[in-house]
Formats: sequence, structure tokens, C-alpha cells
Amino acid sequence: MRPLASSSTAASPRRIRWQALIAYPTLAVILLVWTFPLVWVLVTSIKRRTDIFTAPPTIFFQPTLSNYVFALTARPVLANLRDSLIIATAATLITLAVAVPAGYAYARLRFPLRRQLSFLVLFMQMMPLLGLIVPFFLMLTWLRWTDSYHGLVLVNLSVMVPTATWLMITFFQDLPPEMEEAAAIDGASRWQTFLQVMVPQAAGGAAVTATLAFLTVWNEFLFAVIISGSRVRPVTVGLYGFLQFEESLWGPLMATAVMAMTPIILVSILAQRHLIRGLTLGAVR
Amino acid sequence: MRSPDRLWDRGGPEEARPVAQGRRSASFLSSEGLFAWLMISPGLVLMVGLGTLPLVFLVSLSFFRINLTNPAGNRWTGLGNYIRLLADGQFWNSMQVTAIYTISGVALQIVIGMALALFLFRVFPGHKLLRTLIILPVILAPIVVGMLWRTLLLTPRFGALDYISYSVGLGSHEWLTNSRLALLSIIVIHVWQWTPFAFLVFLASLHALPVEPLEAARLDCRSWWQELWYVILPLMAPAIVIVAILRTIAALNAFAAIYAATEGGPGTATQILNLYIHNTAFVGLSIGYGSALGTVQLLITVVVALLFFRFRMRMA
Amino acid sequence: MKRKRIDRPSRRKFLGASAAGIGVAMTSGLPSIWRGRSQAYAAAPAAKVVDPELAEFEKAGIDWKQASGEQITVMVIPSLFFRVAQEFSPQFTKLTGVQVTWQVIPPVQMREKHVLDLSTKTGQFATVSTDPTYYPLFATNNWVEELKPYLDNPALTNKEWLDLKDIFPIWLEAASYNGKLYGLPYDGEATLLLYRSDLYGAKNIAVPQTFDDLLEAARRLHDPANNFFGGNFGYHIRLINMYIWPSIFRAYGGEWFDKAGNPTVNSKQSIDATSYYVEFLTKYGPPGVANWNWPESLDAFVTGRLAQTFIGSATVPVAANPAKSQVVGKFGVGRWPKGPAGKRVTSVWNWSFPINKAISPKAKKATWLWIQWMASKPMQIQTSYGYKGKEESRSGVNRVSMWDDERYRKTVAFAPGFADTVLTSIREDTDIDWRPRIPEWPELANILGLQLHRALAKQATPKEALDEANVKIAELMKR
Repeated sequence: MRPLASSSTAASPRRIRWQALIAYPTLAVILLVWTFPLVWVLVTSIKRRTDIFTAPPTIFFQPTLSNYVFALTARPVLANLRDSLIIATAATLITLAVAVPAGYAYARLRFPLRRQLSFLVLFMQMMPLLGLIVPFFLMLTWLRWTDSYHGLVLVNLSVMVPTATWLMITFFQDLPPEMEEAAAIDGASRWQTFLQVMVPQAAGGAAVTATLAFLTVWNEFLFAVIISGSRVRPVTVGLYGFLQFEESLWGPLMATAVMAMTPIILVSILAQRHLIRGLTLGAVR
Repeated sequence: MRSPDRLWDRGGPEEARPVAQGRRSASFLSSEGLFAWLMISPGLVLMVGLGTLPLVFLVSLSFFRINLTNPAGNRWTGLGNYIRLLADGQFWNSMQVTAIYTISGVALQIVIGMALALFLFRVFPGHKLLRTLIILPVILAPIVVGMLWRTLLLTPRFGALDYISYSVGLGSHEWLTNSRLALLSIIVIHVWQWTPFAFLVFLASLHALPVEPLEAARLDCRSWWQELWYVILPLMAPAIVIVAILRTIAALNAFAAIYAATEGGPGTATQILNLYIHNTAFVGLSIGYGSALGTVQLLITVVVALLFFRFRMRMA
Repeated sequence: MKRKRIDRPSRRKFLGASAAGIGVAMTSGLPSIWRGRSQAYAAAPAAKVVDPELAEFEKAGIDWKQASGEQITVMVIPSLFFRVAQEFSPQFTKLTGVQVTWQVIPPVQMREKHVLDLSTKTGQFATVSTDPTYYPLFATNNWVEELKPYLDNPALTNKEWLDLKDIFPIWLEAASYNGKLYGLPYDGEATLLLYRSDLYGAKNIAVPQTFDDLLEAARRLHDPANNFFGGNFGYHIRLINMYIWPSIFRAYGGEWFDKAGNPTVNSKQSIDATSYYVEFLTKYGPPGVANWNWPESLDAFVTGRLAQTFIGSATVPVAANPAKSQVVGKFGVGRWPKGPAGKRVTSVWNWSFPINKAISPKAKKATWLWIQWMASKPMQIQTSYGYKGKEESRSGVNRVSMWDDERYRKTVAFAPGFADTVLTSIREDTDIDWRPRIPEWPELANILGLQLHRALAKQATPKEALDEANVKIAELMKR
């Protein structure tokens, strides 16, 4: 498929100049709007405490890495990052393991109650998360699973499984039926068809679902603060702990936020190709 | 076959039915049915156990009057909480705020996201870097986004964005403490964080569009506007709908960013339903009434979802 | 075929025992591979020789080890004074054989978790640092233990050694309800006026003695063109305004309820107080102040943007720290000014510890020992002027005698007269009805806080806001 972009740039020289005149400044504005707050996060993370909440805001300052050092040594931010990593990875893997087969089944197979259960998947996505706190607190305390990895993974699964399933249904519906039919004609079993034919095709969609799941769980705050405790502490809770009684430590807080963003940035860079393929929601026919 | 599959069929070629797989009956005992059920059961168990049961608990709590500040008064109240809800000014305020927040937030994300995608659709030097940079807001934790905007960006005189606004002549304003501006500000914050997601989806979808209809359109249409409206957008419709659904659910469930930014203030100007529920149940300690509000929230999201799916059906 | 048969009863017993064992293992413990941190506290062997570190505590003469082997979880807020206390946790374990797990959670979420735990009777937290205005709620719901039985039990408490009389009486009163004590305070503070003494001096302003003085001082120092603001009344975002406003309310002579029990938050005095509050902040407060929480107020002061503000004494050390403040040596602290009713009203604030009713009797004993240890004089000393660690020093010890002690005073010399100001404030300016001592307080604060915020945001006049609050509070009390 020829990339569409190339066909639209064929134009007269005047048109190109006019485009460039508008295009580049607009590009700069776009970039500025979306990156400025993040730049400010970075800037704040390397400011000394006395430069942070000033009027007017301090633009020229002496940078320092003390906030990062503080976050890593005086507070258990490293342990928080590790905890977040464990919880997010486990939740994502389980979500995928559950949602991919289910998505295929709802999208392509026929079985009793299919329609009703599809509605249930849709319905469960809509859950008001706040309403789940009390029941979850009760349930997990009874099981003695508060302040534990599996407790937090379970709580996050409740949120991610329906959405992930629904997304995978969408992705599987997108796929052309030819390969599936060909496999059937070749005599492949259902499981083989699924595993060797459908899953590779849906890899893009699975990548998107996985990234979305990981990101959501990684940044989750409300459940984390209620369910976690001293043994297990995701980084969002650790972050919030910089708002102390006597003062708020904005510097270390922003430093931790920066550190918390890095794993995801790495993951999305590595999985970029799959992600792009998967994000073509509905456009591929 | 028409009706039963319509809900899941997005108007393209009929859903594939695996051929030559033996008996095509959908009964449980058929190997297809059994296989399918095996595939969906883990998900089903998780959804029912972790979702449906707690929801049933939530709805059942809503029929009681349970207030931790007055334990002697706990009792069954049937629809009492719902009747109280209908007369509650704060509830209707939160519904209004939620509606404004959700509808404008999602609409802006789609429009701006699409505009960005169309604009950045060319291959130019540095476009990959740009793409990576624009996605960053999505990765920042919402709780940090709220805190960042409130204290470091929008505080009059002290915040960076307020200072920029002042410097370019737009003046310093009470972004989060003026009733009208506050709602606008939290919408801006939400749109700022999540438009990149819509942008990514639309960009990828644009790249994946088949070339032929577009080239035909270029020959037929007079202006790019026609090309956009009559050809590109309809082709992008499925992506738009999916983004709309995902973002609407997220907007209805938004909590951390708004809580960190305004806690629902000034007064109740930014108190979306979610925040009102949190305040009622966890601060005011009215568990029964809070559960009733939560049930209403559930009903709203279900209605919204049904609306979306009917819309998708009609588009097909 | 003959089979070797295990004697029936013992086989059944064996199966039952192993099933029980597996059940216990599965429900109580989790494979340690899942544990994020290993609990590395070892119980100390019984020692005949008194460890010098424990000498002060052993003077109590009680059997500290009577709950040995227990494991309790305590939840506290992220603050200096609890961090310092946590450093001494191994000492407590050495003393008692009780393992203590500390959970550190920010105040709002901590309160939510605490209430959740107490109301569902899950017994997760043996004790939690508690806001004094929540005791009526806890006591009414029967969630926490009365401390009298523990205090009167000679096996658990040596009253002379513990010396409750040495703890600020108002703090003990704040941790009581209907005359019964429910918690022991560990640390507390008074809300003080924090002002720029250098600027006061330059403009010849005396420390404000009345609210009118305060307003006048703010007017004279207000310089918005240079990003300098006359004053702030502390913090206002949503509910936190209920930390400051009650002081003004009471200083104006406001009463929460009349003799018949009807709420009177919309009385003339209250409207006057609120009008003053709104006027002050609108005229001389930094713009957007309605959204500020106490860190913003503090930060604005220490970066030299605020002439004066009211703030808890626990935050004053930050202003005196050169690494954190640009106004070191340029500020002073004072008591709350007098209101029209002639009263100065500061906050009644401390963090105290109750005992959760939903834990086992032995765990309750262990918790009592811990609370005692925290509130005891040796502990207060070793965490304040006796402290040699890397944290800063505490400024809110619970022992009156220490506030008169020169050794302590030396460590809290953040501003001239700090110790005396705090001491006098706690002794004379505290008002037990600073907030109403009723179980409905959380919801009342919610209602009133919201209305005050609306008044500040100009969504309603003080009269309208307070009238509406009064109506809602009346409904609340009727339920």
C-alpha cells in the first residue's frame, strides 16, 4: 500500500512555500502546548526548594540533582517503582491471557449466550470504580490480601479485563476471514487456528491493549492508596506521600514523576511498530 | 443473517463463520460451543467475581440508610435514597458539570486529535520525534497532572502558565477559583492530557486508509474540505466511534486529576458526579446515599454505552 | 488382598490437621516470594541485665513483655515527628517483643482508610494517628476502647511514671468524649500568626492584637504590583478552611448550637466573622487563594511573597531552615489576634492514638503498650532534644514540663519567643468548642466547608452561604 502522505505533497512550488509558512509555526505551537507542562515537570525536578513556588516563577536557576538523590535514598522510591512494575506487569499479562482468547471467541465463534455475554463485557466496562472500593476493601481484608501484590493485581484486573476484552473483540472483528477459512480448509484444529493464525494477526491489537492496560495500572491511584500499605506501595502512592504534613516536597515529587514515566516511555519505544499497527482501529478493511 | 449479529457487525463483510468445522450448531455440546466457552471462562470468572458481585453489593447498599455518623439511624429505606437524590441540588449540579465536562471533553479530543492527525499526516523531518513527544502527556499519572496544573502552572502569579498568559497580555486570572473559569480549566487539563491518544489513533488509522477511494476523491472533489468531509471522515468513522466510547468512559470515571486540581471547587463548580460520590461516601460518611449516587452513575454509563452502540449500528 | 491399614482415627486426624495446616498457610501467610519486604524484626531474648536504652522505660516497673509475640500495624501521616518516632521502633520491639508495622499515608486518605477499617470491623490497624474531632464519631460507634481500664490496671500502667497530668490537658480533653478518654496524644501544635518581622519593623507596625490591627497591617504591607501580598488566613481549599475559620468564628463570639440544640452558624456574629474572612482574603490575599492548601501558604511565605499568614506551629521550622526558606531570621510568630468578643482562639490540634476495638485482647494490650511508649516522657525526650539523627527536631511534644525545659527550648528556637508563644497559645487560647464535639462533625464540616468556599468564591454572600449551611446542618442533626 502506498503511503498516502506521499501523494498529497505533490504540488506547485507556491503551494509548498505557503504550506511551509503556516506549517512550521503551527508545528511549534503544537509542540509547545503539549510539551510545556512536561518540560515544567522536568525543570521543577531539578530546582532547589527555594526556587519552586515563587512569584514570578523562576526561569533561571541553579540546577541540582538533589531531588532525585533524596527521592531515591531518603524515600523508598526505588522500591515503589519495583512494586508498580510487578503489579502492572502481572496485571497486564493476566489481562492479555484472558482477553485475547475471549475476544476471539466473542468475535468469531458461535456459542450459546454469546449476545448476552457480549453485553455483559460491554456493561462491565462501565463500572463506576468508586463504588467498588468498599466491597473490594471488605473482600480483600477478609482474604488477608490487602497490602499485597495479588490484592492490587486483582483490583486492577477488575478494571482492565472488560475493557481489554472489548478492545480485542474489536480487533478480531477487523481481521479478514480469509486466513481463518484457509486454515479450516487445511484441517487445522480450532486451537491451532486461533494460536497460529489469528493471534499473530491480532498482535498489533494485543500490543495496544497491553500498553493501555500497563499504563492504566501503572498510573492508578485511588485503589492503590486504599489497598496498598507498607509492604507493597505503588509509585503513585509513594508520590503522594511527598505531600507531607509540614510541607510539600514538590522537587522530589516531580523527580519521582519523571522516574515513573521512564519505564513506559521505554516500553512504548520498543513496541512502537506493533503499537502503530494496532492503533488502526477500524480503518483497515 | 441479519438481526442477532447486527450489534457486533460494523457493516463490513459479514462476520466470518469458520467453515468446514463440523456441525455448525451453537449448542453447548458442539465442539465449537465448548471451545468458545473454554476461551471465555477465565474472563467471565474474573468479571463476575471482581465486577458483578461488588456491583450487586453496591446496588443493594443503596436501599439502606447507612450513615456512619449516626449508627443508630441505620435502616432499610427502599427507594428513599433515590427520592432524596431527585431533590438534591448538588446532585443535579454534579450531573450538569459531568455532562459539560464529558461532552465537551470528548468532542474537543476528537476534533483536535483529528485536526492534528490530518495536519501531521505528512512525512517530514522529525515527525517521528514529534509523535513521541506528543504522546508524553498520556504517560504522566493523572494525580500528578492535577497537582502540577493546580500548583505549578495555574496559580495566579506563581504558576508558569499564568505568568505566560500575563506576559503575552492575556492577563493573570483566577483559573481554578473563578466558578466559570474553573470548569473550563479542568476541561482544558483533561483535553490536554488525552488528546494525544486520539491523535495517535487517528494518525495510525489515516496511514492505514486504502489509497484508491482517496485518489478517486481527489479527482472528484473540488476542495480539500469536500475531500475531508465526504471521504476521509466516513472512512475514519469506526476509529472515531471507538475513541469516543473509550474516552467517554474515561471521562465519566475521571477522579484523580480533578480531585488534585480543585477537589470539586470552587464551591461545587467542578464537582463531577464521581467527586460528589467520593465526598458523600468517604468524607460525609453517608454510605447508603453514596451507593445510590453510584448506582445512578452506573445507569448513566450504561445508557451512554447503549446510545453509542445504536449509533454504530446505524452507521453500518 | 491384605492392606496395611493406618489406624482410622489417627489417619483422619492427620488429614484434618494437614488440611487445617494448608488452610492456615493459604489464608494467613502468602509465599514469601510475593512479599515486597521481609519483616526482619527478631524478638529479643529475655535479658536480665537492663539495656541502657531501655532503662528509662523499665523504670515503669510494668511487665513490658506481656504481649510478646504480637504483631500490630499502626498507620500514621507522612510527617517529621512520626518519621523520627519510627526510627525508634526497633527499640520498642526490643522492649516488648511486639512487632510493629508502620503504614505511612497522607492525612485525607489515612482518615478514609481508618474509618473504612473501623466501620467494617476488619481490625487491620491496631491504632492510627487520629484527628481529635473524630473521637465523638468513634466513641458513638463504639469502635475504640475506653482507656480508663488500661490506665487503672497496675499490671499495664504505672500511672506515676506515665504522668498524664504532664500532658497538655486540652489535648487529653480533645481525645475524650463525654468525659471518657479514648486516645493518648503524641504530638500537637497550635496555629500561630507568622509574620515578616523585618517588614513590620520597617513600617513600624506592631504585632496585631486584634483583627482590625491585622487588617490594617495587611493593608499597609500589601503590594500586589510587586507580587507581594498583605496576608493570608492560612488555607482554604474545600475542607481545609475548617482549620482556620472556626478560630475566627469563635473569636467573634459565634456559637455552634443554641441551648435548644439548634445550629446557629448563621448568627450575626458568624456572618460578621465570615464577612471579615472574605473581605480580608479578597482585598489582601494572593489571587486564587481559595484553592490554596497549607503548603502553598507556607511556600509563598518562605519565598518572600506573603507578609503574614496563620499556620500550624509544626511548619514553622521550615521557615527557619536556610535550605528551604528565603526569610530566615526575618520572621516572627505571634498568637491569634483578639476578636470582637475579646477572645483569642487557636486550634486544638494533636495527633493521638486510640485502640481499635476489633482486634484481639492480646493485640489490644500490645497496642496499649505502644501508645504508652509513644506518649511517655522518655520517648518525647529521645525524639526531640535527645535526638541525634538526620531529621530535623520536633516542635510539638506533648509534655508541658518539657516546654519549660531549657534543653527543649534550645531546639525549638525557630523564631524569637516561639516556645512561649506556642505554650501560651495552648494554655490560654485553646477552646474545646473550637469545633463542635459531635459525631456528625465530618459531615458538618463538609457542609460548612463547602458553603464557606462558595462565599469566598463569591458564589454567595456570607449570609446566604451560612443560612444554607445552617439549614443543612439542622437537617443533618435531625436524622
